[in-house]
Amino acid sequence: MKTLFICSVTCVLFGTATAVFADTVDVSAPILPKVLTLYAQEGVTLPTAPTAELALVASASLIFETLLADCKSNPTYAGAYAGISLWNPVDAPLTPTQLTANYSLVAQCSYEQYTAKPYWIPKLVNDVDICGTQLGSDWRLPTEADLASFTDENFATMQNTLIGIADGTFWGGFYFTLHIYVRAADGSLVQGDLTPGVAQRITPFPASIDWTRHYESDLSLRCIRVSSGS
Amino acid sequence: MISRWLILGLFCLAVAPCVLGCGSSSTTHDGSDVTVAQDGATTQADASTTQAFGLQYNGSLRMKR
Repeated sequence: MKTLFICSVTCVLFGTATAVFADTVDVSAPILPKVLTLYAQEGVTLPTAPTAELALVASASLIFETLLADCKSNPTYAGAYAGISLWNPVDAPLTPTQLTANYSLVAQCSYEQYTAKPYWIPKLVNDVDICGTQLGSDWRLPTEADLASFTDENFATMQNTLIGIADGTFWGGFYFTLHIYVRAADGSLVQGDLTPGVAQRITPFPASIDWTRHYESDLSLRCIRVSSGS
Repeated sequence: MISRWLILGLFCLAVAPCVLGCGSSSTTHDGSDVTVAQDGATTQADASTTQAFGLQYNGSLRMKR
């Protein structure tokens, strides 16, 4: 009996410690640019002053929650995205089905109403803290170390959720991608891959790209927020 | 005696996390209390639940690492 008691206590303490010290990680929906806004100021007309770069980012960035409300409620869209479910803290939680519908309809709306594509200008992503300024100071660009810290289960979760909800939708290719901008350990901006099982998590940009012009690929600007413990 | 304690200890360390932590977990709309399954997409009967688990109202995916 004594042995069983001690064993139980050990189990509880260890299990509790495991739960408490695990990090909670949020991987954001892509921040999409209004590409027509970006295209008008790329190349030789791209601002170089930090404040001007920040202003361009602010005017071009489309945030998921902003899109959610606008796509649902903007009378100009004539209810085209009526399937979006808005929520506030006094409401019952949305169901997974509603959350999935929201994701898909925001993707569709962002393209149809804002001409949004994931084509950021790499120099802006490199120079401006887009995550911190657009989502809040606790958000940042994912790092090479973040990718190295994810478990196989984490990568599977991201694929099952972020790609899984795109099944059968035309919009999945440009919105639900697992290819993301990443800050490498040496400080450079690189391409990251969240796909389960890939051998190489980060890849440099091709030497041929013009960093001052939009980069056409399926590379999404996703952000990360890490909370230590539970 | 020592080896018996060692075996029991190792057994507990191996089993405790699964007993206490792997069954299910809660995710939230940044503070609300929706609870959805996290313990194996392949075991869920409801495909929509399977696909959406961890998805938050703000469009982010929440998980433990």
